[in-house]
Amino acid sequence: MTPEEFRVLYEYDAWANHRLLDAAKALTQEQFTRDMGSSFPSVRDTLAHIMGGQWIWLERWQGRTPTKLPAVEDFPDLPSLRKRWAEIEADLLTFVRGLTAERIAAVSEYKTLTAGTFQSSLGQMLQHLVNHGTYHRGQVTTLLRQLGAKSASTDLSLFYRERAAAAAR
Amino acid sequence: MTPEEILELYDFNAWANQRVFDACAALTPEQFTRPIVSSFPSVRDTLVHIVSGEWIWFQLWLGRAPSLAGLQTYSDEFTDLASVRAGWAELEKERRRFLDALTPADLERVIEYRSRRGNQCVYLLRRMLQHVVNHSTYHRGQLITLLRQLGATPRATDYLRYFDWLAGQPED
Repeated sequence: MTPEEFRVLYEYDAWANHRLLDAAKALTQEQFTRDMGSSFPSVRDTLAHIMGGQWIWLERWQGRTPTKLPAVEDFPDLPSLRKRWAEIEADLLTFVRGLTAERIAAVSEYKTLTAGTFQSSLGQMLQHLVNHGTYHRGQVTTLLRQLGAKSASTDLSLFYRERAAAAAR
Repeated sequence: MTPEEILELYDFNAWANQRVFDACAALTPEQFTRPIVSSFPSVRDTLVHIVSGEWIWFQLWLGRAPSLAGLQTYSDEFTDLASVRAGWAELEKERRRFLDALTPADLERVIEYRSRRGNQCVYLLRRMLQHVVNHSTYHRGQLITLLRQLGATPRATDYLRYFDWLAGQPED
């Protein structure tokens, strides 16, 4: 993947997260943190996991070895989560916009929280993180629907169409 | 994206789909089709949506434009897990031949078609290729939620986990 392809993919990722965060506004505070029996108990916890994944990978890409994810209790409601997420998203997009082909191909080591030390190219890690976000966005959509809220389409094809339409204007 | 990167992405997708099929094997037939609120109303319907989605996009790459009725006929064959697995395996085999033959120039090919909702759609092939895996990943996430709610314990299908699995690394 080229730096430009990753830039588009990460702009998609941010667009998709915003659409879900907007959809989550329909929930009450109780619904937002209700245990629904998913991979992470609640809508809040699943969203915080997507955001935490972004933070932890960006830390690793900047040469640090984080030992724990941000605590979900720090985000009691949607506005507090969005506020922290906006900072992480800005840092992540800045990083992705500065990518070079050499950097994408470079292999580095990282330590996971529980499973030890691994090696991957930055390109594989970048692909992983967007895939991770998409996977958990699917879960958020299921939980939103189970809570009676509407979700929003976050298809990559829709993102491409919206971008093409915006460019044509 | 290079043809090699596309193959890697679709190897991952095949591995992840097989993992969720395996996880679905733990369900009773009643659980497999039990109505649960999600984007699609059961485990079965979510699986069918993944496979049908992969199928319809593949048809477009081949220059075919299946009708809504064609999609329905294709989807109707998937009544149980065994038929879903068999249908997907057949698609995967055919698609693999297509992917193996891709050149860098093919990836820049523009594909135009009219969607089932009547919109004129224009995409680069490489973008459609990324879209389809992204789409399947999204609905795999939903399946895992449904499986957990039904009491099953599915295994991870993370992108990097696939490479660990390839390298024979232990899993958490």
